[in-house]
Amino acid sequence: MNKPLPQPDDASPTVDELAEEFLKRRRSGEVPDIEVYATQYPDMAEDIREVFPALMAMESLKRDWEKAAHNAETNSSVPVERLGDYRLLHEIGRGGMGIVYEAVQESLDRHVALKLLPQHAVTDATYVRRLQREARTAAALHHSNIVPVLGVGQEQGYHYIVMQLIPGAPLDRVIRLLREPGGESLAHSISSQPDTAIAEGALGMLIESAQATPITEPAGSVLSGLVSAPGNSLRTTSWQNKEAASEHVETSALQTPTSSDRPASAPDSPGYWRLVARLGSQIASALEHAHGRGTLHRDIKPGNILLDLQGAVWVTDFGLAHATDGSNATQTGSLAGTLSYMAPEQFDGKSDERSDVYSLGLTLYELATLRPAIPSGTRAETVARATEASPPRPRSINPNIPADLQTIILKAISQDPAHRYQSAAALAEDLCNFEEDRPIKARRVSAFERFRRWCRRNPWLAMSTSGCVLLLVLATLAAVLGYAHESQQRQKMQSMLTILVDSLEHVYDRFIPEQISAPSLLISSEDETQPSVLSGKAALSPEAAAMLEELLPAFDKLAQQFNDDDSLKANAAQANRRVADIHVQLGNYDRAIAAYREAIRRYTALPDAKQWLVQIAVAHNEIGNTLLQQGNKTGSTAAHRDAIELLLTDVPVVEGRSDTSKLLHEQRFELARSWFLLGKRGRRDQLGPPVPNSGPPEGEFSDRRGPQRLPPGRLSGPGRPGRMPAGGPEGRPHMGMGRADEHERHRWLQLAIDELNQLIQQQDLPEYSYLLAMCLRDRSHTLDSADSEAAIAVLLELTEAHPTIARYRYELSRTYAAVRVTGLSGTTQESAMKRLRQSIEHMNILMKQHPDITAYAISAAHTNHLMSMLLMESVHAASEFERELLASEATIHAATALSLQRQAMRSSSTGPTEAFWLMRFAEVGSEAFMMDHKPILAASVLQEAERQLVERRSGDLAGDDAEQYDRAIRALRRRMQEKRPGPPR
Amino acid sequence: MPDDDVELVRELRSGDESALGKLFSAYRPRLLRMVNFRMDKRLKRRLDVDDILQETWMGIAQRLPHFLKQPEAASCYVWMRLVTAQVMMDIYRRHLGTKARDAGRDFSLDQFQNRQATSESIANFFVARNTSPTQAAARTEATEQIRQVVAEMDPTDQEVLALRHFEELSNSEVAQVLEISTTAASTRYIRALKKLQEVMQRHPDLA
Repeated sequence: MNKPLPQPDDASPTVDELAEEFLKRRRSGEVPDIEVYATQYPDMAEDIREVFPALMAMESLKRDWEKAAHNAETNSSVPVERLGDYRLLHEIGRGGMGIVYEAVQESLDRHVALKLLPQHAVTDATYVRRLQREARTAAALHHSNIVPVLGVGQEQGYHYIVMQLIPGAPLDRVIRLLREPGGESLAHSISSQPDTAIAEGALGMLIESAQATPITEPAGSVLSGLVSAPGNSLRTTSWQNKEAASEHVETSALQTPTSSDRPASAPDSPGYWRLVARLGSQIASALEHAHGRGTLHRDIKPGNILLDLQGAVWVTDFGLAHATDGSNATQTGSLAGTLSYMAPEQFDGKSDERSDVYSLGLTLYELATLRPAIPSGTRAETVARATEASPPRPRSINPNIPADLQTIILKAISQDPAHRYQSAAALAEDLCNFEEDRPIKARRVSAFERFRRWCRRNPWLAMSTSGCVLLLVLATLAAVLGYAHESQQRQKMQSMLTILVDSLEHVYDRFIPEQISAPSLLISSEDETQPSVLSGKAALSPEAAAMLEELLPAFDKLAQQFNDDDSLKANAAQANRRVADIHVQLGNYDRAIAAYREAIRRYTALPDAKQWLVQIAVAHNEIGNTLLQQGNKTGSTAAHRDAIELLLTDVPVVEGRSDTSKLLHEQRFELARSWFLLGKRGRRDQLGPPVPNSGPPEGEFSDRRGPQRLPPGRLSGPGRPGRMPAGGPEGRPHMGMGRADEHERHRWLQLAIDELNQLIQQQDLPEYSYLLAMCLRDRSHTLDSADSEAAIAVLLELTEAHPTIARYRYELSRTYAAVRVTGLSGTTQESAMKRLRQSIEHMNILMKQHPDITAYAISAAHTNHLMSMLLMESVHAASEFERELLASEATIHAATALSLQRQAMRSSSTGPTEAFWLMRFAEVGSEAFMMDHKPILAASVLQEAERQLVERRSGDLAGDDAEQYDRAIRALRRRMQEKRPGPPR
Repeated sequence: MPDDDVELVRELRSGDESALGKLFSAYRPRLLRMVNFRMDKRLKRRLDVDDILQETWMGIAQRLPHFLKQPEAASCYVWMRLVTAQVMMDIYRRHLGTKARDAGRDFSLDQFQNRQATSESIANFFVARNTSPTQAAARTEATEQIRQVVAEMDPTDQEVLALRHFEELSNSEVAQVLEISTTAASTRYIRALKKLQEVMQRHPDLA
């Protein structure tokens, strides 16, 4: 195949090349000028002037051909010629649920509109029934602005609905036309006519041309035929000639590109707004009629509203959206636009009259601004935009829109249905008021109120678009505050600030409350004596970490900015605490402690520091927790003692015990918490330098604000030197846990338990019971004693009463899991298995509810691991038959443990501790498989774990961590070698 | 866009078959055009253009090795267009079968270019724009004039017009389709346009 290949072009362009470029520009919508070319290339000017017009003629020819072909296709391709009494003529439009044809009803010899419904749904009987029911409901609607339904039928496998034929055009086309250059003058001419008849006639013209415009045709060409601009040498000025296109580019009138984001025309004649209002009130009254008869439309949009030649408006497709269960958007691809008129609550499947109001509001928005309120994108984007963002205010797009009209529109499209017009009639009324220059009923929402609503709606959206936004607001507030001398203004600012802080707090709470910073301790190790400790950072999901990083500067700024103002100092101190909390979550312990101290300092410096007592004590306790994280037990103990001392200020000592009965509940609670923190398990100094991945703070309590905010209160009596409760010796820090330490621990816990019991009698708050359960659990001498049972009982009650609070279930699950697995007899093994199963069950629920919280996966992994060990233990005492089952069950749990651990390691930044556990799980897993007579699987489990560790190790740089990885890998390899007789790998 | 094409073709040639799909998607609108323009009227009602393109796609996927054998500079679009033409031929044979033979038409690839039909179509379309009744009379005469002019044009010239405008091919693509040099294609095009311009000037209503 020897084709001569195209030859290289010359250096200077030929006429053909210029022609090609010219064509390209035309095809991309530009309107290049022939003369410009002629001038630029004078030696080819003659040719250019000869050739280019012919070229354009050819192009226009092509366009005509396309249009004709398109029309021929659509007009002549009726899928079926007759359906019963109806003879189909040609297509007139496409709607959300089918294609509309013009048809003749033979028996009555009248033209009707016939809508053919999509075939795919035809076979579904429930669909059919629903459809018929809806059609009947729609047919019962009689209103001058509702397209009457004349019939519904089923024939030859087609389902169809017959409606009155309305000669006119749907609003979406009209809006398109109005957007084009020249549309403005058209709109003007329509609306400014004093004589209604002429106005309507002009409107009729508009409609006809809208009708004639196929969707692909640039509307400008049609429009230019309608509008006679000066200097326009168009052949025809009569609007009759719809095809008199803008092909003659010699005119300079059409230099502007036809497609742009902002409509080229921005109507500004008062008549136009009245027109919009008039159309709106007609539609609203139609809606009212239907609502009154129990039918919602559910799919109000410009495409469903017809404008007839007399300028009256008709709503079509009533209730039919419901018949197809509202999933319009899932049908033919061209309908992505339907989504963008749906009210936010409709996405959740709840619609009512106000949803229709919303959709009408959006339609009016589009009529007024000539722009869709929510531009359609991908399905997900459109849904997101509709449910979260508010569209830009109409006057920001066109300042000529009257304020009252804007108010009406904005009210109608409020995100919250409660803020909209509660009925279509109310909307109609206000639109009438506007049209007739009367005051409207809608109140303009103040900026303040808007801000408040926005904050409430978008707590963390506000943050996720970076704390910058809030920082800006803060900065503004600060600046304004500086100048605000009047107390009223200050008050307003103060409340804005509170709202801001509230929303920041809200964000924080959303991310942290159920977020356990790490499963603290209490993972019983296999040999029961040493509760093992898991890394702190492991359980923070990357998203939460990122969010926290963003929150940090906002709170920081807050703390700085408002410290200068007395009335806001408390806010500043509070902000400081939050900063500290975040640092803790992120593992920046030093900074956290510094921030807590700063908070304490500020609280103390406040004029009425006493009222912040609890806050200060909490801060001390948090310092204690953080120090413990860093392995500084001494410091931690001291900090907790500070808290206790503070709380016991002015507390009398009766019979050797502090009488706390007069204290406020919050104070007593914090006191109990302090004792708990002193007495809980796992308090020890780390051997060696503090490692960030050592013991975690007791996440549940480290950022609790307590059961309720501390209201300003009074403490009685002058200050007396604080003293320690019950005169016991000071606990000297030890390495490891000696007897004395154990005794000490129990003492603290006892104090806490007593306090809590008393408190609970006075006020039964779940948090009190929760802390009590924690105390009981930590006090239990052995891992499954009476105390442990008691703790379980409390936690079970809490979980059942508050199933959505993850913490309760989490601790319940972990308490269940705190069992020995080795050295048990038959019956105790049974009960241990029972507990482990319950633990797993609860943790599974948690994982389902919060798939992104790694801590749950880690905890579940450990429990499964224990279970598999227990099962293996029980094999020895079991019968031959049972052994098989037990062994196989053991492998299942071991495999689960491995998979969960891997999942946890994948999803967040986990450290070598997790790696260690992976190794351990793999060891046990391989044992289980061996027991189940599956040596190949046993070997592969080890290999897989080794591979993963080596992978992780290669990426890990820190010296200590690397050491731990190596150790784990060595252990694995040793085990692998043991399994395999023969030379090592 | 042309740059994307070049990139994709390069990828295709270096073995990335997924580039074929992307290229087909990119070219689809133009192929669609071509099918619409060339498709025999008799089949327009019976055949769905999408079906044709679907079959085309399968043909392209099957014949990919054939394209890969062509020299580097060969236009991928032109090749795809060729495959489309072949597919259409096959479809024609299936549908029109013996009737076509009876009609005395010989379905060679040349004929498929449908030169006669082209000149008629072009002329008709040219004049069909003016719907005003007053111009209807003038129209017939003008149509005739144009038809004659176009019919008298070298068949290749006609083809060039159709390819450049109705199928929106570039000059080098036209050259490849017609198997002539780019200079030749270019010259023909300009010449054809000039002839048209002459006719247009003689009939003001046409412009």
